[in-house]
Formats: sequence, C-alpha cells, structure tokens
Amino acid sequence: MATATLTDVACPFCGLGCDDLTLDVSGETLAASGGACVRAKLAFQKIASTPADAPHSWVEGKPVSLDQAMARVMDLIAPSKAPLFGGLATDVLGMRGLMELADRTGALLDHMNSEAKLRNLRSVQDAGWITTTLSEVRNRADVIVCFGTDVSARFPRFFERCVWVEEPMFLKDSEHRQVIIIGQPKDLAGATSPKGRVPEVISLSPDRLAEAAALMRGLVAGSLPPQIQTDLPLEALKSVAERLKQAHYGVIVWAAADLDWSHADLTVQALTGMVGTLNITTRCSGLPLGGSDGDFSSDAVMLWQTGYPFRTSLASGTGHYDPVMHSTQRVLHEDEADLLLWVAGLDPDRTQVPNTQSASGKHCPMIALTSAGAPLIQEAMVQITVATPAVDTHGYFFRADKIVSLPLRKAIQRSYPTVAEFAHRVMAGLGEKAC
Amino acid sequence: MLTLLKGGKIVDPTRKLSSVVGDIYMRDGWIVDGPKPGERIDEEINITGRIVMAGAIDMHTHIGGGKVNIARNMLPEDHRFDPVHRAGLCRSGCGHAAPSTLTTGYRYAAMGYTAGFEPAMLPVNARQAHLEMGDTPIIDKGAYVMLGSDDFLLRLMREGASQERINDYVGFTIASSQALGLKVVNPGGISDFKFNRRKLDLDEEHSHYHVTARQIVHTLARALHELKVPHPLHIHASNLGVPGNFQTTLDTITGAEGFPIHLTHIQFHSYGTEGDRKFSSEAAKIAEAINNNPHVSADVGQIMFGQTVTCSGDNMTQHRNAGFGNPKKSVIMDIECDAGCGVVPFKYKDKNFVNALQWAIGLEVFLRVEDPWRIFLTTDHPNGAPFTSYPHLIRLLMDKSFRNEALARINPDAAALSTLGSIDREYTLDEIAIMTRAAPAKILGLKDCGHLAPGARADVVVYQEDSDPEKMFTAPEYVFKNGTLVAHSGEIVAVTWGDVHVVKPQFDRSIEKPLGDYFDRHLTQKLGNFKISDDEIRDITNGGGLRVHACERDGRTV
Repeated sequence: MATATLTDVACPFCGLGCDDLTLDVSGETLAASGGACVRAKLAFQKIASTPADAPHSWVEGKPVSLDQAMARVMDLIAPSKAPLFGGLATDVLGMRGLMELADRTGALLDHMNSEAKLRNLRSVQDAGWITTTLSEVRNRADVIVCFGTDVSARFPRFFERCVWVEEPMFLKDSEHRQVIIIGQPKDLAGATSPKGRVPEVISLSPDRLAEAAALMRGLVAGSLPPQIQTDLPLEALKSVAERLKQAHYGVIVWAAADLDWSHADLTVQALTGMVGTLNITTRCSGLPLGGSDGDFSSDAVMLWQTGYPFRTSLASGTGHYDPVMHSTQRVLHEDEADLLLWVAGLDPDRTQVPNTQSASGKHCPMIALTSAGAPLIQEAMVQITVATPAVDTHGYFFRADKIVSLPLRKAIQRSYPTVAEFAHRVMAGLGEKAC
Repeated sequence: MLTLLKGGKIVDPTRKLSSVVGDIYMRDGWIVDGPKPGERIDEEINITGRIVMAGAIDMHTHIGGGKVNIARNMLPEDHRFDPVHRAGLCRSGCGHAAPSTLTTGYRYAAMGYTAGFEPAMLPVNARQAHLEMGDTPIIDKGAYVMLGSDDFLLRLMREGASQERINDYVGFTIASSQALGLKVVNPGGISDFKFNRRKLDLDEEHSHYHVTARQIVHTLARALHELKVPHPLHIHASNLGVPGNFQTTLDTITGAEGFPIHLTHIQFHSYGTEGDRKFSSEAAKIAEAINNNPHVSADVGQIMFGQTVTCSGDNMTQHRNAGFGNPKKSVIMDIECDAGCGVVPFKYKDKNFVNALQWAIGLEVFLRVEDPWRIFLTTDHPNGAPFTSYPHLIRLLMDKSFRNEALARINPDAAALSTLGSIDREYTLDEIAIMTRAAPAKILGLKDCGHLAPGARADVVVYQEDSDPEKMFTAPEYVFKNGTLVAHSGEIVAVTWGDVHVVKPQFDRSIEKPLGDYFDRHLTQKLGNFKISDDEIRDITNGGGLRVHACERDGRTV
C-alpha cells in the first residue's frame, strides 16, 4: 500500500484557501492534519474514502461504465438547444473546459452561489469599493467589525490565520485588536482572543442589519439628523463608528451569503460607502469573504474569457449578462432550459440541487458531475464522478480575497475524468460544427 | 515546411534595411537563409510591392492579472457595445477597454502584433496573470513583476541589507513569478498609502520604513544591472498625474545615477503648473532629458479620446483620482503586504482642457524625443486608450496635416498652450518599425524577435502600403506567428498559442530561508505555493512554450 506525506497542501473546501495542510496518503485514504480544520478533514476523508472500484457513473440511478454514461450524456447534449450549466463548483482548469463547451453549445452559465455573490457584485458595478486581503488584515487591522456574518462558521480558521497571530507586523500585538461583531453569531470561540478576551457583540437579528448598516454609514458621515429616532442600539453603533474613525486600519468583514434578505446589495453599499467616507481621513477596508465552492475560481475564468461574470448566456453566440433573468432557479421555473449540466466538483457535502421542475410541471433533464463521496442525485438522468482538484487531480484555486490563487496538487490515483476531460470528450463527440 | 515570401519591401531596422526588395524564407517557425541544397519550397507567396516587417511587440499593455479582471467585473456596460460573436475559428468574447483574453489575442494578431507584455504583475497575483495570459491566444506574452512597495524589500532596506542580499531577493522574485523584467510603481507609495499617506515625493521618507522613493529606484535599478537582467528597471514614477510632476520625473532620471532605467507612460509624468489653470506641458523638458541621457528610455502612454478604464498598481494615486471616474465608480485594493491596485474608469474628452492637453503632451513627447530606439509606442492599454487605437496613433505620428486637423478640434485653451502645432516632424515607416518592433525586442533582450534576419522567430507581417497609415496598420494582409499564417486581411485564419518569455537571473538561493520564515510568520500563504514552476507555466499556457532569455547586458551606461 502506497504511503506518502504531502506538506503545504492547499485546501479548496472553503474560500479561505489555507495552504499549510499536511495530507497523509495511505492507499486510498487521506488524512488531513497540520492546520486542517474539521471541515477540511471531513472533505478530504470523504472524497478519498470511495474505493476506486466502486460505482462512479450512473444512468437513472443505476451504475454503468463511464462510456455508457457518456453515451447518454451525448444523447442529451447533442440535441439541446438551451443548455444551462449550473453549480460550477470547480477550479480554474475545470472551468476552462466548461467554458469551451459552453461556447460550443451556447449555454447559460450560473454558479450555485450567485445569489449571494450578486449582493456584492451589484454594489461593485454601481459604485465600486475599497477592499483588502487576508495578509493585510493579519498585519494591520486594529479594529475589525464582522457585520452580519458568522465568520468562524463559514471560514473556520479566519481568526486563527488573520487575527490572533503572534507577530502582526504593524501592531504591538494581536491581543489589543478590537473585534466587534454586529449580528448573532452561534459561537464566539474563534473570535475570542488567545488570552480570553471575548469580542464585543452588538446583537441584532438579520432583519435589523440593513437598517444598522445605513445608520452606521450616516454616523460615520455625520449626515444624520441630530434627533434621530431609532430603536437600534444607537450609542453602541456610535461607538463603533467612532472607533473606526480613530482606527489606523479598520476592516469591515462580511460574507454576502449571510446577508440573506432582499436588496441586500444596498446593505453592502452602505458598508462600502461607509468605508469610502472613512478613507477620507484614515484607512479602512472591506473584506468581502467568499470563494467557497470555487465561486471566485470559476467566476474569474468567466470574466477573463467572456468579459462578464456569472449569469451570462452564450446562446446568441456572444456573452449576454443578466443578473436577474439568468438565475438558475428562474430559468428552470420558466422552462427556459432544455438541459441542466450541474457541476458540484469540490465539496461532496454540497448536496443541494435546484428544483428542475418548471411552473408547468415539466422536468428539465439533468446531468450531474459530482465529487467522489457525494450522494446519488435522484433527479439526475446521468451522474458522473469527476476528479476532485487537490485529491484526484491538480488544479488552481482562487481564495477569498480574489488575489491569491493557489496550486492544488494531486494526492491519490483514481481514474475519474476531470471536469475539463469531460468537457473535451463531449466536444469531441459533438464534432465539428460551423459557428 | 519551407515558405517563401517573395519580393516584398523589407523594413528591418535591426539590419538597417529600409524598404529593400528581397525574399524571406520561413522553415518550421524560424526565418532561414533559403532552401538547403535540393530542398523544395513548399509554399510561395508573392508579396511584390508590399511592406514586410517583423511582428509588432507591445512592450507595455495590461493584458493579465487581477486588476484587468476587476475592470471587466465592474464594467459590463463597456462590453455591451463591443460584443464579439463566436465565428470561424474564434471563440466568443468582448472587446473595448477591458477586452476578454481571447478577443485580446485575436485582435492583436489581426493588427500585426505578435507579442504583448504585461507591465504590472504583482508577485502574489502572478499565477492569475499567467493564467489570463495563458488564455490569450496567438501572441507571445511575458510580464514585469512589481516590487518597491512590498514589505520584505522595505524591511531589507530599513535594516541596511547589502545590495547583494537585495539582488538575491529581486532575482528570486523574478524567477519565482516567471517574469521577464521588474517594475516599480510609485516607489514606496503603495505601501505608505496603507499607513494613510496620500502623497509621497521622491525624497520624502516612507512613514514606517524611513526609506525614500529615490533610494528604492536606485536600489532596484542597480539590482537589475548587477543581475544582468536585459530590461532595465521599468519605472512608474512618483506623483503620476500631479501638475508639476515633470520635476519628479527629471529627479528620477538623476536619481538612477546612470543605471539604465525605463520610464513608463511618461505622458502622465510630464506636467507643469504654468498657465491660468496651473496645468501645462513640460514635454519639451522631458524629451530633452531623454535625449541627453542615453541610459534612459520611455514609453508614452498616449491618451485617446473616448471611454476607457485605468488599471494601475498605484492605489495611492487611483484613490486620489477616483472622484474623476466616469462612470463614477472605482475599486481600490491593498494587497498582501506586497502591493495594491486601483481601477477607475475614465472618459477622456477632447473638449476637456486637461484631457486635451494630456493628448497633446503625449504627442509632443513622441515627436520631440529624437531617438526612436528609446521611445515606445504605447497607450498603456487600457489606461490611455485601448490598444486597438494604435493605427490611429501611428497616423497621428506619420501625418502632420492629419495631426493638425485633430489639434484644431481639441479644447482651444489646451491647443493654445501646446507647441504641438509647431512641430513638423513626421515619423517614417522605418521609425515606426523601430519603435514597435526592433527597439522593444532590443530593450527586452528578445534576441530572436523584432527583426527578420535568419535565426529569428518567423513572426512576420506583410502590409499593403497605403497613403493612410491608419488603414495600412489596421489589418495587415498577412500575419505569420512562428511561421504559421494566423491572420489574413484582418481575419483570423489559425489559432495558435504563443510562448511565455522569461529570464532566470542567477541568485543565491539561501534567500529562500529568511523568505520562508517571513511567509510563515507574516503572510497567509506558504512560500512553496507562491513560487510558480516551469511545469506550471507549461500546464497553463494551452500548449505555448516557455522561452528563457539570457541574462546578459552591456556595461553601465553613464
């Protein structure tokens, strides 16, 4: 049985992209250690624990060979007039392959995290923002406001890697950093300093956060009427605004996925507008955390290859971006796609699939590409296990700050096709076609 | 496979050939003397009467890396008016200010360009830059990696590290990011902006590290010289866009103390404070300084009127100018104790006094610098204008009456303040060939590019001569890349994948020990994952190769 120990392994199972993991490879088992968080350990273990000879392709729930599955895939894709490529949880190389196929077939592309991502994107496309990256937070941030986001729950090692570090370059120590949480985190363990200082929490339910962001923006700008009436904790928010003004380098952290209410892009804009105002006199930056499920990786490829982000259709032969009309759920509900290619090629626990039934009751046929260890998807006509980057194949992964991209290395040998190989095989099957 | 281009008028400044009728043979991607004894000519193309040049080289064009993708993300409206449909061999994409990578490659090739160099690759973002350039078809690529506001360098300088140690770090950074050269942007300023500094002059001390921009420029210019990296330090000087900054530019030249330097987008650094509006042209002084200092070269960064987007590593300046954004939005970033970036859309207007004068200043610099081997044709794509405006720019340089007609249309106050109308010079075809091919290849150390001598890469462009240079340079009749006909009269007829050009300077690898410690203690990435291997480059270039150029250069020029 082959055994090996891989060090400095990068993990693609949340957007934080920790790259200090150790992987012990023993035959087909993978044990992540080093700094690995619980989520990483589970993901590596689960993906690797599927035996190489276990079923890996299914047609209507029945195990078949890859060739049989691909034959069915061709039967579905060849006649498709309006394919929808959804999920898109993959890395750069997987997305490169999918983009070629999407261009060839005139597909619409949307990611499983688009709804959350759009809360940020609308704000950027409207006004822009000032943001920072993980190492800047680690070394500079003296006041850190986590807004409406349970940071540790989504990014388990955020505080360990970016806040409670031994030697921040531009601060006396980390212990004196102020961490303020606006919202209702489940657990304060991560945000508590090594010496036990519990973060300040301004407890607000999600339905009050939009208002709180607007109020903070007004407080920082000094643009509120003197006798403002509010049942929000005005004094506490005033104090936060004041401390951000006094900070050398304040950071506002949020994960758009947690700002789950309608028009939350306006909340993001309130936060980034506040950051803009603070930068007139001092330094402050936003840290919009994301990148999980490869959303920054596949979006980056889309952007540079088409010029547009997710929710772009190539049906007309060129990119047509529409953040509302091109949502996976709406397209399926309105029966505007005749095929769904669902790609969930990273975290096997990302098992939620969209409802493929339209308003008129019609089912959109689904081809699913999933990581080893993922459950069978009942609705899928065809399901194929694809090579997971960082386990079965190499790849490239953009982490939460969209700046650093990490090499993912192959850890074990199994024969699953990569997402790109799948795409190329389909294109070969489609043959030459005049554009 | 041997191809003969028969009877063209060869313009090859490297060999001092000025429209000399002759034949060019291409075999397996290279230019050769002619057939071997008994060898059959597989293909003969009669190009009698046409102009033949080497493929053009854009030595400063933002074609890869995070800031371009930020621009794409922020500006869907800019793309809607320039859609590119999937057609023929080409995939879909989009054009204009921040075009898609695929369209970038096709359009450059169709215009006779066979190489483009990304001038501001952040070390921590180098992988992305290479991934994007890897998805840019046909043309060769390469990048200058950015240092000068990274904390590791500033720490070394504060600690008084030896020049040898700094050279090791510079060599390591170039090698590990797979770069061709080194860029410095607003030396120290990007870092000091993170400490809330808003302006950093050449001789002001950085608030935290207490080193000056002058020291940074000198240290890095010297490092490249000692590492024998062919391309001199590529400098985006302090005070970009600030009226009166011509003095900073002149002082930067002096500050290099004779070490070779390249001043980039010099148009943005040639401003005076004369006149009612305290904004004037000092192009003449800048050009004079370049003329008098043979160790200095510059590219212009010409602006053209219309919508574009500015993508820069200079977050300090971009933050200051964000209010001028049109449309009014901007992205400003602090990045990884390494660098920064700022993306601000701009719409340059011919009736706007400042924009009109910027346009005139760029042209004045072009026309007043005497040596075409040291001034390069760029718009700092997309910061001054998209690269697709080059044929128009070439006509402005080659056709005085056309230029003066354009001058008559700009803001009259700006026109009155400019001496452009009094300049008679018209660039010759030979001079255009120098500044777009021969000189970029020379200054970048690309020995087998930029000329048509046997032994060169068969990057060859055939133009139908035309009295209108804009028409001539828009869609050459034939474009060969590595001997393959890739474009014919503006249409892409083959899609190939260009190479990545790099240098690998010699340095003491023991620098990786303190660097590894620094990464572990202060950064959020491991040094091993920061480094980009040769195999990685080959993996991401879609079949393009890796071309390593020798680190050797002439002695110090003073």
